Amino acid sequence: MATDLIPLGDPSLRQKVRLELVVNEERRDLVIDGYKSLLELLREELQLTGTKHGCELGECGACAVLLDGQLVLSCLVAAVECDGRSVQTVEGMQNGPTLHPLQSCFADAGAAQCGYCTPGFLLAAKELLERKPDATRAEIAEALSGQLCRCTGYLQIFEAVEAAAAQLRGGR
Amino acid sequence: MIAAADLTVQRPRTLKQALQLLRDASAENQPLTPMAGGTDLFVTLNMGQRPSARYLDLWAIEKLRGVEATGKRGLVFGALATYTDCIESKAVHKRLPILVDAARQVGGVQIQNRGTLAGNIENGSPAADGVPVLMAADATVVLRSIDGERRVPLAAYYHGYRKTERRADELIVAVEVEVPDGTQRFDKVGTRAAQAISKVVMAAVGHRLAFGSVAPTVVRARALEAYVEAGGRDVAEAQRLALEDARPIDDVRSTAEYRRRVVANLVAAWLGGLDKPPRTR
Amino acid sequence: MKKIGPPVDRVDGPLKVTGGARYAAEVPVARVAHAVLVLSTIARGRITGMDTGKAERAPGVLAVITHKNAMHLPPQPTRETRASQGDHVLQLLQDDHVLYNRQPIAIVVADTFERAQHAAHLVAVRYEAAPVDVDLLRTRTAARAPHPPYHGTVAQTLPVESRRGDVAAALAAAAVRVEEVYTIPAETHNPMEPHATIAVWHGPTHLTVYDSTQGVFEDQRKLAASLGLPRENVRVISHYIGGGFGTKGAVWSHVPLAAMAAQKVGRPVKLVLSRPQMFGPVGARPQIEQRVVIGAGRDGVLAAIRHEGRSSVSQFDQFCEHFTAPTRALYKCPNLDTTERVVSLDIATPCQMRAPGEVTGTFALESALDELAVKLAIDPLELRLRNYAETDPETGRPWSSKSLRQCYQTAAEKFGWSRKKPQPRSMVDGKLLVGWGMATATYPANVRPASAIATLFADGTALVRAGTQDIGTGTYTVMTQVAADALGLPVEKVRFELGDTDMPETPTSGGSCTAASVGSAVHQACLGAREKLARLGNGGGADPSVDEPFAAQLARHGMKRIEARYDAKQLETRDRYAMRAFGAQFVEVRVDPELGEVRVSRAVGAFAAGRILNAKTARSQLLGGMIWGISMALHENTVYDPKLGRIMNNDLSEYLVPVNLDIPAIDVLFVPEDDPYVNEIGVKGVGEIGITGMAAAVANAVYHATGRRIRDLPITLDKLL
Repeated sequence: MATDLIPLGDPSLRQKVRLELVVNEERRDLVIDGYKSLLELLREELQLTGTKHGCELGECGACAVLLDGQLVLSCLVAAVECDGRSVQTVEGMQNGPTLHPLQSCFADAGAAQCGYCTPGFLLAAKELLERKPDATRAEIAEALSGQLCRCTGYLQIFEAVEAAAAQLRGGR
Repeated sequence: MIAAADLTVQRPRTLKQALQLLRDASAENQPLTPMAGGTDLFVTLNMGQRPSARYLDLWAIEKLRGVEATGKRGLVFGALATYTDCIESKAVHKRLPILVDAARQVGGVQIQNRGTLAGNIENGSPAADGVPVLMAADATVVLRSIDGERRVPLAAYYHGYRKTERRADELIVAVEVEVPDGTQRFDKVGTRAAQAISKVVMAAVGHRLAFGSVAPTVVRARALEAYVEAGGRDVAEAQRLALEDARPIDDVRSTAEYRRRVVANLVAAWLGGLDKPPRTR
Repeated sequence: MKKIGPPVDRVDGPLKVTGGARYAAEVPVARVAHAVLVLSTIARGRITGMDTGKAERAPGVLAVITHKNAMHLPPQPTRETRASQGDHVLQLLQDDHVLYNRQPIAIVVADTFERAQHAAHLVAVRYEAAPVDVDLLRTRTAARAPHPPYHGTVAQTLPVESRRGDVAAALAAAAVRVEEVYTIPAETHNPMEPHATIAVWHGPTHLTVYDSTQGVFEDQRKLAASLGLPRENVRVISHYIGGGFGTKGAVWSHVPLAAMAAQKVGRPVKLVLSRPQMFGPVGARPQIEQRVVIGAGRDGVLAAIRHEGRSSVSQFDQFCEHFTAPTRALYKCPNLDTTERVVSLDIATPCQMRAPGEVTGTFALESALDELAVKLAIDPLELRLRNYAETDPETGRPWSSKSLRQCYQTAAEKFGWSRKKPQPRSMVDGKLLVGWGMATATYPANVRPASAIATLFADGTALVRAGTQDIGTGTYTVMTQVAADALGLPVEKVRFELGDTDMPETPTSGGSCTAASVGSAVHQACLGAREKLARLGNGGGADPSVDEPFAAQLARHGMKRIEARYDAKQLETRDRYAMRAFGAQFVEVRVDPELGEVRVSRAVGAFAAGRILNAKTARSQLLGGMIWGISMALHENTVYDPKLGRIMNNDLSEYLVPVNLDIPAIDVLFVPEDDPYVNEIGVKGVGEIGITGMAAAVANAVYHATGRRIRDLPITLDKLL
């Protein structure tokens, strides 16, 4: 195939696109409208509403997910671009009934207030700690600088990430 | 507003396909807009707007990825080199550390993962953070079409507000830098500590100086550079000359008067550090 | 009862960190269609034509509703006839008038969100635009007295004028005078979750709405009145809210519009505002200009204060920020004049935003006091102590409790205030200028009637319900604690449910009243259940921790459950005491003298707010408030184009809210306070006080750093060079 012609962004087209991807370690075989963003695919088609809709302009970080392990804003990624790739959302962070240390530390530290920004922060923090298990406060702040929290619970969020990092390093 | 037409994205797998698509499209007078990480495109789509009906998505062309070190002081950025690539590149850290400084202040990690230097250049925003660094480092834009390649100095790339040298059948395939000698300096002035669209950006490599957010395009301070190169060190004169090229306006982000003063103060600080030994990493 | 409750983990924490908490737009509803609003691009005038053909023909589109085909509604309230604080005059597609920029003028419904959004952009509108007047500081429109308080039942307004003593004479005789004008731009709430509504009709007369709201009952009343339905036919549900800060404290046009759209298409409809749509049609803090005149003796003792000002309001509705309220209550001063005026502009109606009145008023008053301190060369903290109000200066009533002195002392000590060098520009850190500033914080202790039901089960657990909301403040958690405390049960045995108009009625969550109001009702309902149980007899005492457990008592009586309901009355002590929370804010800034960049490097706040139910959630509330205050001081500004009346910075890259790198080291200190009079559970509320005084503390610190007094917020870089 020379090129893929993607009917992206035009809701006037009824063209459906076939898509195979892995979401939270589960293989999904989907037929979707070509114009869907990854955010809308997750929220409206897969009912994975943990990924939040905050601005759709790439400014707030509420829709952040991991795409092949890399942090991206799902509102700025075409769903069709995820063909053959792996997506992780907040719903895929826990291991069975056991919360990921970041999740339990966010809950314990009061880092989730209204909770709307929380999933994006969790995934940004997860990506950071996988890269830098012993990240400093400054590195945490920089890695999370694309996430907005209007309850402005940033200090509690830093505390939670630090506590989780310590747990993860402790091999828990 | 464009009526509901067939808004499509073509996604070539090779550079050759991409260049052919660009040529065909421009021959039909229906030019394609190249895109990389899609950060700008989706913003407009999510607003329901249709800035252009047809896009060329380069993201799958592996050949255009990455940063390469050449010779003793050379850097070649592929068209898909992201800000994260710059931040993670040892060669960039060593040779052009101020580009790392700039890259780390572009949006958050998610934008750094998808935003590209080439996209930042082609988008033509005068407030782009990476462009003044590249311009101060005498970067060259490599444009290619199906017929061949040409090299344009970044400092000559802009013709006006968001108007660039690129023809409709051309693509930026790389950005090349032969980093000049001299002290490097990067200053970004903003209200907020991160995620801020700059009020003023200044980048300097030796005697070369570029400003962002003070004119319709990112600009080199040519008059001041000539003065300094000739040995001039008078602060007041340097400030006056800088403002020949930096001609800020009032906008929603700041006032012209403030920007003029900041340019003057940054120039004074730069001049003060100019003859000190270069910063090392 | 402990004065400071344990830092119990939030009971909603696990749901919020797993994506399991469902916010309004996330409730699964079968066959839901998606709606997108079309907003006006002009700020005043008439719609002369609308071409909806293209939008209607676009694939997937189910309806395009404009003023030409919208359902005809019963007469709507006007500025003069509105019934309550939340009863806004809405724009529900009933005529062709455009009253402000970004007014809803059409609603497009389609089978998918993207198709609705796309079709919304295909609606072509022609206008006849009239000249606009949107800028309080440039307008020539005269200020006027606000409209009289609402005619309805829940009037919460304060007098807009107050007089005591003879201010003119006292000012004329005063040894020192300060007279300055302070201005604040419109600010926009921007909770992270945009407004979102799902409307579901059950037949032609019954409606269920899932809404992101701070007040399910206000929502229910307004929807019923707008659509001409009996109130009991409307049910509003709101289990999780992604922040509100005031914008979700009232019902805006999009809520009834979603219901109208759902009726039109015969399907449930989901309507989520885009981020740019969060600017304009859903309220903002008004623009405010205040003049403060202070007369004092050389010893700093206040002789007179005149505090007057005007705030912006829309042409068609009423709202007045009571920015003089803190001035009437904060300091001992025998002569006082306060006046609040409004100016009608071509803007959307402003509304409550975090600590309305108190935060704006304290910016002016606490800045002016700092100017007086500078003039008299008296330490600003000492100046405040010399004018300490031992009783409420307005009514002469005793305070139900007041621990402001301890707040000053605790915060000053932690901050190291005694090491301050008084001269401006006298403290430096390398090339940066360092400045210290302080201000007083205060917020009234509000209580509104609330009800709750407590049910005890034979398995030893309890369920407590009240219709209230958790807007991120921790209502789920603290109510669980209050109930557990009153029932003598561990928190794990208590479940608290909220967010539903089918539950007992509670007030809108605003004005820091939820913990006190709903908490009191929960407390009483739980006590009521225990009493009922005790009255069953031969079980002895009703305290399960020392006596027979509930489960056993119920079993012995062969009962599966026992239930008690409490409907709150206002406490009579509220008339005998003045009731306010107080605090002290101390701030350190660093200013780059060459670039004008200001960063807050350190802040300490100490607060006395009655009983603190949960140290963890309370700290979060106060920290959040303090950071909001820093943001108000340095960032927030909704910019209008003066000619077109458009909001120019309607997204989060141009409208600046704090990012994490802006956040300094902040200490929140609690001053324990035992208040037996304020309400049943001794709570004054902590949602708003944290922001009050903060903008002044920052401005005062900037003055100390630079010698420049900025009286016009925000303190942007250009004002310092």
